[in-house]
Amino acid sequence: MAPRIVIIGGGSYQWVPKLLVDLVNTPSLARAELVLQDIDPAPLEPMADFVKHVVGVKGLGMTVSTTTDQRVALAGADYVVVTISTGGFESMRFDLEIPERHGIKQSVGDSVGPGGVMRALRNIPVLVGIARDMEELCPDAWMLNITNPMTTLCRSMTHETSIKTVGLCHEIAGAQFALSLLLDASFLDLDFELVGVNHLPIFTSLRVNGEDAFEQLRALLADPDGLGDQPVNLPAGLGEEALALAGGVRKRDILDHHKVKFALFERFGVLPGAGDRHLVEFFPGFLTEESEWGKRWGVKLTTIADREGDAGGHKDALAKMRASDEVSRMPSGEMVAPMIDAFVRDRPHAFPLNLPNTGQAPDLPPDVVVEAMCTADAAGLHPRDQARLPPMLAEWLRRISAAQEATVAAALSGDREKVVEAMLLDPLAGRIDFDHVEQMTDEMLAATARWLPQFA
Amino acid sequence: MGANITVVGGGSYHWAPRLLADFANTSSLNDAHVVLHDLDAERMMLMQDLGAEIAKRRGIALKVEAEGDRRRALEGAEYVISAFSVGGFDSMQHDIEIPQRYGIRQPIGDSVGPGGIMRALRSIPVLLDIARDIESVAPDAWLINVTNPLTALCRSVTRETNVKTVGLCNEWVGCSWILSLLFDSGMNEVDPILGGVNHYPLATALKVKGEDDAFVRLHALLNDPERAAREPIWMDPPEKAGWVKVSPAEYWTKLDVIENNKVRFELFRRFGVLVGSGDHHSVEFMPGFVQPANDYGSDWRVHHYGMKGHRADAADDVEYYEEMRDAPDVTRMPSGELVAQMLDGMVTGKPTHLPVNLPNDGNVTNLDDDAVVEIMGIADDTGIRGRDKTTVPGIMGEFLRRINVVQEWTVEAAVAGDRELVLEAMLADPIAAQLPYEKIIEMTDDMLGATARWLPQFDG
Repeated sequence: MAPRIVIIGGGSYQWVPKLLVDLVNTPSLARAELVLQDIDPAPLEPMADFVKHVVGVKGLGMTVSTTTDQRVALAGADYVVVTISTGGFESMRFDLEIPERHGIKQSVGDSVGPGGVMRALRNIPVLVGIARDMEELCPDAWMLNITNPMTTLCRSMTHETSIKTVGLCHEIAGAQFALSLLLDASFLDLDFELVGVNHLPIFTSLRVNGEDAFEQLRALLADPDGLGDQPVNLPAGLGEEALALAGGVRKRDILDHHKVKFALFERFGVLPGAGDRHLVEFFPGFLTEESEWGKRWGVKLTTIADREGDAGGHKDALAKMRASDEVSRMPSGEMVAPMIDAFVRDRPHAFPLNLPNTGQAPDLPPDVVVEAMCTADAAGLHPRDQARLPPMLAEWLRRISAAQEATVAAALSGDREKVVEAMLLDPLAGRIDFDHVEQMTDEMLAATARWLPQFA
Repeated sequence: MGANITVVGGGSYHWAPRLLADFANTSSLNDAHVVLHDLDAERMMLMQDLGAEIAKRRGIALKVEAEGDRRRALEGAEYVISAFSVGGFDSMQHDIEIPQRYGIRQPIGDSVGPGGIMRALRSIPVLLDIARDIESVAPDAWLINVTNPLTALCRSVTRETNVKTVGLCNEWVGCSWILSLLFDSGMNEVDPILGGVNHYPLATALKVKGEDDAFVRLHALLNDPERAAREPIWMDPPEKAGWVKVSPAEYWTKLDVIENNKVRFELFRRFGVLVGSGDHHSVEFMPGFVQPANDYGSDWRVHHYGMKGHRADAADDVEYYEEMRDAPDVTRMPSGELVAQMLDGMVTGKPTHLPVNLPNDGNVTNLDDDAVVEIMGIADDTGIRGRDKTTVPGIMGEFLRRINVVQEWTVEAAVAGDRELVLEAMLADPIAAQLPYEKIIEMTDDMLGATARWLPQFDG
């Protein structure tokens, strides 16, 4: 049976093209039925057109349809990929600008901190709406969520609905890639355990071909000058943009591009596995005026203007791919296609996944959504490891997790007081004085009220 | 046969006069045998003389002797009171002044925060030495600790020794006075359910005059400032409290009480949990109230003790001692400290209810069983036990949990003499964690360096 794969938010230029490339490159999905749904019809046609073009070039049996009707899309779905952004850049702007007026600068604003809290408030009701429709129209389908803030969004699903939900994030793949360049290892030869929450997953062990790679990292960090100008060995088929992602052309550049995670690694002996721009929002001691808001740690603040620039680039990239008869065979690093592949072929494969804690994160409370290595097969998703953290990071994650639970409670209840509580518990939002936490919250709620019907 | 009570730090100008007067005013303790031990022989003798004088004036059998050898002082003790300060003001000034250079202002610095952590590092080894002496010469004695930081110190004893330990603090007494003003009641008619740690005891429920709707009535009063501004209180605040008159009335009103305990009542209004310590203590657990944007707490009327305040307290203590020494009779005024009250319960067997710091043992469901918590307890001839089981709700429960983790690590760091553990406690402490990462490391090094001579466990 050909799986019916629905992408809600299927008009996203940032996410959908790379998911489509992965899907058409997956033989087990050659006959899949793709449904692209978006509330904005405009980008749906170019997306579908691109799929049809590739299907023609590659001679696949895949079908694609588009709709703006969520219920039409969901009927009979097997996999529902969610990539939405409620209010887009227009709402996101307030996530960054209002906290900045209160002395909080955020490097991304999409996971925790005031921006992460507000984004959760906007997206959670929409996701709950999708899940409610799924309960009716495709109750056994998996929701594959790639929308941020991932942890709170997935948690609201498992808290509120009966829909099987998993969160998929590419940050680990990015870290894995950078580490493979640094350690002269093949990407797939890295073997690790990890535990944490999304955008703060932490490698608790790392091996390359059975050798302890943490030891190797420690040696590199003890003598970074010893690296000289040693270049990284870029695997064949990868372009320059991959190097920019990892940090540069020299191994030294990679160390410099990941200063925060290596500082934490040197202190605590475990290695955070998300980009430093994400990490600093969880550890606001790195995001202070003294460090020029992260600059001295090599962190650049992602602005709305940056995002708008990226968006133009994503659109151009799709047009370029449509114009070519070549389809890149390079995996995007996103896990949607490989995971569906593991499901449909019943071929067990390990992924870093965001799922409710059923023991894979012994340092965190049960039921909260955690990121850890899990195995996917036809029977579903199974947490693989039970990784423990050093006490300091375990405690830090418990604090983050408590703030995330409060965020979910606020989003579901539409209670302003609960939003203030979530902000107070959040390490980044709660840094400023008590009154300003409340003022900032009120300003953010007011500025984005049109995307927050539950607070009306 | 009277109770055998040993006071370690018995030369304390603060503690010795208060304890001795309270013993003289408590009939079950009139015939107590009190041994004062102190490193300062001169002051120890002064206090011994004061004890003799009190016994003579009252014509009671109270026997007070000084003993410079600690083990001998502890022999035969049934109750050991520990009241000491390692390094005194010389060390304490670093607790306050070094963080201040980094932009951190601690109103007191004696419970948590960088100051509280450092003070624990200095005091824990000394208290453990005392506890080990108790284990060997008076293993059945109760250790009654009144030394700060109370929670970390009591926890170090329960963690490292078998000595029965209780920590006593009078902060709740102050809160019961505040509440008695708002409820027109007596202080002893105010009865909370507490779940917290020292200097952050959290009332999750409250009875006044036996009625259990006190929180409802308190919310009603807070929501009606006009009424609060009219209603007089049964006692004017002592000048020393430094309250600001806010209500327009010519007399002190309930609104003045509320406005001079702003943090306490803001938290109660918002989160439904009443903090039982003064605002100057509780804000060290919730540093959002002490920020540049609110003029380091002055918008909230948070009083900063600083070194000046600590020194002024010490001068007051000397004055108090001198007054007592020179007065024709012994004051009948209770000191407000809880030691004598608790001992009375233990000696007579009459169940006495009071706030105590004890191993949690499941009473505060937010915290580990091993944690030392401040809860309402019952003291009688079987010992001291926790009275109520409670859960601190919501955000206040999470703040409590967070701080207790830091306290546990502080104890671990103090016992192990491990700098890295000290740093971890600082990194997780709500006050210290406001600094940039690299500054937390620098400040920790500065503080350890400046107070090294009082931290032998970190040598080598």
